[in-house]
Amino acid sequence: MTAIRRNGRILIGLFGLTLVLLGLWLLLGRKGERMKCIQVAKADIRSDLASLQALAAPQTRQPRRSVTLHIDLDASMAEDGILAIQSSYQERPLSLGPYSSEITVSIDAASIPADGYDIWRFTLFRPEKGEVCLWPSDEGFPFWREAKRLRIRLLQERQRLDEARVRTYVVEPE
Amino acid sequence: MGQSQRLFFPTRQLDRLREQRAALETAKADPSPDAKSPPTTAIAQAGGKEVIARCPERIKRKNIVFIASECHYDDFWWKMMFVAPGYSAAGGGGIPQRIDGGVAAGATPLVSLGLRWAELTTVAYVDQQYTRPEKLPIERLRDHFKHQIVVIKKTEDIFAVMNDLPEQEENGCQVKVKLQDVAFFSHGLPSNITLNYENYPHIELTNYNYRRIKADAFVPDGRIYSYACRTGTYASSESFNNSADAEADKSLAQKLANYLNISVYAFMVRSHYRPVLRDPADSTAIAAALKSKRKGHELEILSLSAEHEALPHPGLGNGFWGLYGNSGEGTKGFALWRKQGARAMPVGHDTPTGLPQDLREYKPAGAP
Repeated sequence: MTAIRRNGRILIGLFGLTLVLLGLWLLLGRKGERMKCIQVAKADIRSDLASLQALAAPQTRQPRRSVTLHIDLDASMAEDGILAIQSSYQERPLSLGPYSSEITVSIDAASIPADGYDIWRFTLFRPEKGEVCLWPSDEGFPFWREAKRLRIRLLQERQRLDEARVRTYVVEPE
Repeated sequence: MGQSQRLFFPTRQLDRLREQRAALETAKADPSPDAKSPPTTAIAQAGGKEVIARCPERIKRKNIVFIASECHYDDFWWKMMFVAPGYSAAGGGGIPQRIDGGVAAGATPLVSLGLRWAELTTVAYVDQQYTRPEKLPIERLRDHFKHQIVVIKKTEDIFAVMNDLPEQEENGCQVKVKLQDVAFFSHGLPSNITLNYENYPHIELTNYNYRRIKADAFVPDGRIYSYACRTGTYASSESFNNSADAEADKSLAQKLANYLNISVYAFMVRSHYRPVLRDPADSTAIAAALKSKRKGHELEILSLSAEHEALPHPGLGNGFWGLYGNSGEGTKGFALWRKQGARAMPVGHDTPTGLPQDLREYKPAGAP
């Protein structure tokens, strides 16, 4: 009888705890939306990657701006992913290859605006899973200013800042 | 038989050549004002006799309306924000009125009166994350107005649609097809019209790929209207001291104007679609109407008022159990549609700061 009562209390406690956690999630986590990963035919991913690779042009002698990036990406996604980093100011990706936590990228200095702002897009291709994950942005960041090292956190959850703006990655000078 | 053919055809061809030469000389002596190049000729039947008819240069004008996918807001209030003005620009909803005062002040009267009439109209849309009820207005443009409907699946399709200008034959004469008005209803980044924003594949008209459009695709008074954000800006900052800092001269709008030798109308700021489907003051009444009518009709098109209806879209919007977000307000799982199409065209937003908010005209370099 005592054991039944004890088990009953445990069950009620667990139920209460579940309700509290659910409430906390609703209150605190409700603005988070899963990052966007889209199912794409494996053949299409391979074809798109080939097209992007074909854009890789030989380096010119034009003056270039460069920046070294420390990129944080969830380990489970990093394993088999091919990451493309794209600037608003050139068609060719700044970087395209297997995910690496540290990458140095550069751009033709003449192509970027005087204020050094740019809008980058990160696309993770996962050909084996038939999946493409996106970290787009609508807001510029002075990627090409004086800072030579930047830390970029690719978020697992999109942060809706207001009705119009969504943050998918965070950039901080290192 | 063979001999008579040999005798007959050279004589006939000679006659034709003589007649063609006479027609050309007549045309040379008396050029019509609309003939800018030597006219072609066509053979017509008159009184049982073949005669050479002069073919004045004729151009068929074609409009194109691009409608993007909407995967950024992805909820009841915004899902149809591109379809509605696209539908109206293509003539579907009659003439949307310019709204004076309130949020739509500064709305340009140019496209809000619809695109200029053209003999041919193509509606090109990105068929991503739209349900069948949401595509019905586009189907109506095809069925009722006989517009050509094209699905855009990748960036190259933008150029394929804009370059699809084959000469046509009409009464034996060759007729050229040229673009007159092209309008984009889409998300955008500085100098980048992103037709599938926050989705894949990336479908974009940018300042590095625009040259894939044929340089002579437009009639001389052709126009492009971009209702995407910031097509007229090159720099990506959120605040500017003056419009010169936004480097509009390097923008996609200016590059298109120079390259195509036409006027391009675009925003330097973000475009704002809030007044397109509803008067924001009506939002509470719209949500309440849907909440009261949806029970037991979750998969039906619901008429909310004389002006609005709700299109079923399972899963659209956020929140659950009616606790918050779209679920809390009772709009989850539906998309708002205005029966007459857009009530106004998009206007300029107040970001980035320091820039003019009107839809600006970018003229070709050297134009007065």
